[in-house]
Formats: sequence, C-alpha cells, structure tokens
Amino acid sequence: MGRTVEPLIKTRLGYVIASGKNSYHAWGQAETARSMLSIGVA
Amino acid sequence: MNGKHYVYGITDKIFGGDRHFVKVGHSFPSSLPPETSDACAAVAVASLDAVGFSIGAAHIEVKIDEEEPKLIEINGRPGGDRIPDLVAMVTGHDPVVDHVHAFLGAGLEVPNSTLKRQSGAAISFFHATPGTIRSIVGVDDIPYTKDVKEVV
Repeated sequence: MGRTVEPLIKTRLGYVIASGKNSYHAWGQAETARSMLSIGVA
Repeated sequence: MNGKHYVYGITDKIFGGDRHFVKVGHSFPSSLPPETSDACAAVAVASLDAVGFSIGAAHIEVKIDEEEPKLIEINGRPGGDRIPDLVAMVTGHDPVVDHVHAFLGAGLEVPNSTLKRQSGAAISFFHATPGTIRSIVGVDDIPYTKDVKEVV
C-alpha cells in the first residue's frame, strides 16, 4: 500500500504461477487468478 | 554439454501494455507449430556456436518475423522472470540447477527436447496504471487450486 506504480514497462507488482493440461490451460489459470485481484491506484 | 547444445524447450512470451512492448507473462512449452519451434531452436543453437558458448545453461530470445525466427539476444545464464521454474514444472529439469552443476563439473542428464509434454506452466504478472497504490483487493479470493502454484 502506498507504493508508487510507475509505467508498466518499469513496474511488475507481483505474479501468479500456474500449471495446466497444456500451456494454454496454464495461462488461462494464471490469468483467471490474476484477474481476481484488484489494485486500486490513485 | 560435451561440445553440444541441448534445448530445454521454448517459452512463449505474452506482450501487453502500451503498444504491446511489455512482457506481461510467459507460458511453457511454446504453442508454436513444430516446424517453427524447430527453426527457433536451430537459431538458438547456431547463435551459441557462433559465440563459442560451451558451458552452462543459456537463455536465447528470438522473434518470429515473416515466419522466420530472428535473433534478439543471447544470455549466458538461465532465463529470468521465473522461466526456469516453468521449465522445471513441465520437464523435471531445472535449468538453474543444471547451470550450477555444469560449472561444478557434475554430470548432467541430457534434457530430452523431444519429450511429449503432457502439461504446461505459465506466469502472469500483476500490473496497474501509473500512480500510488491505495488498495489491494481480492488476495484472499484467489483460489489456491492444484493449478495455481504461487501468488507473489
């Protein structure tokens, strides 16, 4: 909280690692989990 | 290894952000057609031969341009962005461990790039618009299923 977010090219706030039946499925799992988190920036 | 290069596999990069120049994730193994993957691997091996790279793991990046892989960069180290963990999850070979073993003179099991892979792994980065973070909501809602391995 309170951390400054610079343009995306400089800042990665965190990540999700997921597995799946194949790379498409794994990416879908990771994206689904990531999309459940909302980062409020002002 | 023994004067020969072995390909762990190929990782797809997912781009996003303004003008789509920012890597927002990676997935492994690549979903490229086999002939394109083979062409990428050939460029990677040729680039290592060209610079005389002979020990340890390397991370090569190529971009497909007009269906031809073009060399972007050569790194005398395993990939970043937790890519070695994705590779290890799928193949059982950890490039970081192999890299250290190579420099210690330890024997290595040759990665089998032709292994028929039955699984995949991916990393997706959190991102936000520029500014100051005021709230982070939903951390507890992320389901830690057997597929979601890590949230950082």
